[in-house]
Amino acid sequence: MDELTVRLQRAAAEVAERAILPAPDDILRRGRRQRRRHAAGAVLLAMALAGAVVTVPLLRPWQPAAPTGMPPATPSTSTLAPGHGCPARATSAQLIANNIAFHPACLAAVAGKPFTLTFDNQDRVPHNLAIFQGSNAEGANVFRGQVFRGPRVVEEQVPALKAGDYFFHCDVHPHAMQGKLVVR
Amino acid sequence: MADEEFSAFYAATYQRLLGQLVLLCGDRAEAEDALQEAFARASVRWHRLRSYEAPEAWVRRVALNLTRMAARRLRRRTAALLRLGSAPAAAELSAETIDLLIALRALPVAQRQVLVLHHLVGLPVAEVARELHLPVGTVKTRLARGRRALARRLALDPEEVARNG
Repeated sequence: MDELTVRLQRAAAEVAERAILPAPDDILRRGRRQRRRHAAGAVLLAMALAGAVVTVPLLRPWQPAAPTGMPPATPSTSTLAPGHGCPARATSAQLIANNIAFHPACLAAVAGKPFTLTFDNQDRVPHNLAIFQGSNAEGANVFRGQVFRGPRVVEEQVPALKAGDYFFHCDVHPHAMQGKLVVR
Repeated sequence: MADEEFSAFYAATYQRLLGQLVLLCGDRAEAEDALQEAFARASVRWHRLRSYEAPEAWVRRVALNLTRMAARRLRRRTAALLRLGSAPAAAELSAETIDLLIALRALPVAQRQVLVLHHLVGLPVAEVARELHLPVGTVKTRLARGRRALARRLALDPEEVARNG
């Protein structure tokens, strides 16, 4: 075996040895979430094709289960329209990054008011929070927080946002760490 | 039952695939993200994938495609990392491995892919060509160029590397 192959194999083995295996349940849950989202998309498409009037509240709410041991969101003041799958009131704006996932995956905030988001990165890897208009990262970026390695808590100052739906993700783990922010 | 079977498959293959993916995309966080996404997709298709001869190859292929898509977002992400000077996740690795990752990252993705699939995963050239939808000749050319470039960067003996290729 040549030296190049040996070096590649040694490096891959080292990475594999040091890898932290995420719990299989997390992967299964993530798969189920995807299936639900796809199903909701298919329903929307079918209804649109059928010429029906489709409104967002008809969709199945997107609310991934928060893991046990996470602090509950503290209710605040503003009330949201029901049925969008996000908290009914503006949350305490606390976001936890744990095991390469956001908890909760849905936040709510008051329109037109800057707010402080307590971002608790409990992972020993770098994360950040980037917020975009709309339902994916193709929308305009309205906020991008610092990338930092956990365990550490950072108070992010999010500027005033217009009422609407926003998407957020971690720039370092854009597939695994996604969420929705509803501003009303 | 199916969940248990999938969990066993996942536990048996995750770390090996991660080692391959990290070398392929040169970034551990990116590789972890793509691989977990690929496994999540595999979990919802497990009833079909379980009958495949090599479900591991399916997961690797999906993760590979995801890292290709992620490359388009790389500029945005790199800007975020640079702004705050965050250390890469590979900081805990040995200097030799980091050196190899840096050398691999400097190669074009096309060369990196054939090198990893052939030398690390152990696929024959024809199999690499099938996997990447490329002519065999193209794979051979990329392998030769990739080997030469990597040997130069790692200060290996290029003649010996070429001989053993």
